[in-house]
Amino acid sequence: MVAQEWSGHKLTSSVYFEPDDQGLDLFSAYLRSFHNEPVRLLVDLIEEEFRQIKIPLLHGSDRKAILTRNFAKYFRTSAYRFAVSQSKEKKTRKEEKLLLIGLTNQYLLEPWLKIIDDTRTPLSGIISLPLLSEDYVKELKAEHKAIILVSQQVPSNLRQSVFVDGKLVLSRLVPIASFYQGDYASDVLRDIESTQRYLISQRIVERSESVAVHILTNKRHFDKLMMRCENESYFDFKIHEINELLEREKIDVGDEQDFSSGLYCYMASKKLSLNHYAQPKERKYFQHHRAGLAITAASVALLAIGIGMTVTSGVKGWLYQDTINETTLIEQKYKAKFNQLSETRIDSTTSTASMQHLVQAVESIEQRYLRDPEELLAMISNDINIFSDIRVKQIDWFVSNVSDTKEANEVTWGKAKASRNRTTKKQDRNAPKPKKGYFEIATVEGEFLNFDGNFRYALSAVDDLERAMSESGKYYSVEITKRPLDIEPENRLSGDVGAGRNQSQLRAEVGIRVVREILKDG
Amino acid sequence: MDKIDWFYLKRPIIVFFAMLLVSLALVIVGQQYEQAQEEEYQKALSTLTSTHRLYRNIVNDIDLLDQYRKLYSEYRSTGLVGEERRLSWVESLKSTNQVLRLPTLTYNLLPQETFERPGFKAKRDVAVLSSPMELSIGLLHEEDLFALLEGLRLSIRTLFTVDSCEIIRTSDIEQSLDTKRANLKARCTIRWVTINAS
Repeated sequence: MVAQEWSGHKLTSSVYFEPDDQGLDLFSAYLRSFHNEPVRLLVDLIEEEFRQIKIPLLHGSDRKAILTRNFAKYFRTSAYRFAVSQSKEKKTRKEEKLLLIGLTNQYLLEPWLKIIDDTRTPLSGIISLPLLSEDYVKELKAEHKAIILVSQQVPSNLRQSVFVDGKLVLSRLVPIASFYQGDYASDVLRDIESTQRYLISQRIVERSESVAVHILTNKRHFDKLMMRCENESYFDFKIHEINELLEREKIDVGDEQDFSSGLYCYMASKKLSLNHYAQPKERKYFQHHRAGLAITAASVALLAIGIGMTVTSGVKGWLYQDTINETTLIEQKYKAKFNQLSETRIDSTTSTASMQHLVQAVESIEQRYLRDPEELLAMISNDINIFSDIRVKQIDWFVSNVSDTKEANEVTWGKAKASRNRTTKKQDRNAPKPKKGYFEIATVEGEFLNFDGNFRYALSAVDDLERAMSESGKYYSVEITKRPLDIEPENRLSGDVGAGRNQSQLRAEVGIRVVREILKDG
Repeated sequence: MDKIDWFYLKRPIIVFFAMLLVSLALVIVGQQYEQAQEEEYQKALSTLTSTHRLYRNIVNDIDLLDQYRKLYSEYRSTGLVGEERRLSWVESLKSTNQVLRLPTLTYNLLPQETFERPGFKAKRDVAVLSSPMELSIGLLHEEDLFALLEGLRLSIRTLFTVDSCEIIRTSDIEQSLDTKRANLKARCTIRWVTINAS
């Protein structure tokens, strides 16, 4: 067991533990020193088998059942097994090609896993090295359909993984004794040829098909392998010196490397989440680790929110303080001005508002309510003067709040009431209806001067006067209250037309009632 | 999944609750500070509003005072505002007639009453009163009546309005006017206005 500690691209430590009691104890102590840092177990074992199978294209529980059956068939005794989907044929045969991998001897891992569990070390996954190398093969971008990747992680074993179309088909770990002494290159080539023969026998590759072989080796064997491989024409060899490869990938491993374990461990460490074999119970502490990280992240978020809200409140409070200072300053200025104005203001027993209301009341009275008869009487006089033989005997002028008030003493200030029981004469039908408001009313009584008894003329003159006044538009209403002769059909008419009648006793009297509305604008 | 190992999660949980408490404490302290500052601000704002209202009122008051004080003083001096000055009215009537020399001019002042007219409404702090005065006038000519009213208006700078006037020609219409005696008889009611402010 080799435990490597990686920090980004840098290998910080690499410790080897023997698979004996002492090695296990040291491993336990080693893990405890890490304070629950998560680990990954990369397995490179002889006891790992690979099976390519085809199953019907299924989903969910049906697929799961078929996988379980196949696992039971090929890896009955092992709990460590894994299925990788390699391709799906959806159109014609509707089947899925799978690679089943499994550890045939699970007890090899048990002591190490027990220590991992005992030390509460979060195990993120147990990773199959051949399956992991699939990622590296993709980086090679080989033109060949079949690739054999040869690498060595320990001195005693040579790993050969076969990829067809970039997918892992099988992998073999064969013992090799000539790493330190012997013809290493010949041994490697012999094993590769053996693998090729197996591939041909299994019809994985055609006999005539050229196979690309990528060998990851160290400096010691590089030149020998190069020379030896040049002579072989069956394969398209590409030999990679492991230290150059690490340097090219910018992987800092410190010392010069003889094996590829550093490269694979680095690749395993870079995967965010990778697990092939680990059971849920073995990953228990990894889940705990993740939960712990989530809780810590939540704690940090909580603290950040708390600090954020506090800072927001602090800033708001500071802004309030700023505004308070400004407000206080403005308030003091207003107060100072108020005090200054209070001192200069002349004291008065009557409030300003009362003065205002009083002045407004005076203005209102002056504008509308100060009346005298001169204006209306002048207007009436002008109209009557057209008829030079009419003389005025009596004028009764008054103001009223109803248009149909007959006499001054009927006026009641306060709530105005239009009279209802008035008899309406025929000629008044066109007269305006009684109305509430503010009116000047004048009743004028007059007489025809030097009347000679020509009532037809007098009546005509009165009608003309009424018409002239009505049509002038100066009055709200004009009404003839008395005519020289009452010729209405409903009234009684009497007189003296005898030859001996006294001419001087003949009178033609006229009465006019004029109403003028005083509007609000005066 | 196996049972949760709370011991394993002890540290993050303790940290979580500690952070929760710290955050809560921070938030509470922050909120209290903000609330206290807001209350202070509202108080300051309220004080400013009330001081501004006082200032605005006094400015308005001064403006109004400047506008109305002169008129008010004038109304007081003329007797329009305050207690009614019946003697002044009678004196005005007398002085006016000294110029007009009307043959007859009698007056009858009635008790003071509220001045009421359609559409007229004074504010509550202002009382508009009026005293009716009945005048019985002997006129040489109808113009004398208007001259009397105009004379009154000029002799005393207060308000009066005419409620009614009845003018009757005393002589026959065919007779010409006599320059030595009253040709017309007038009965008028005028109303002297006085205003009181509370």
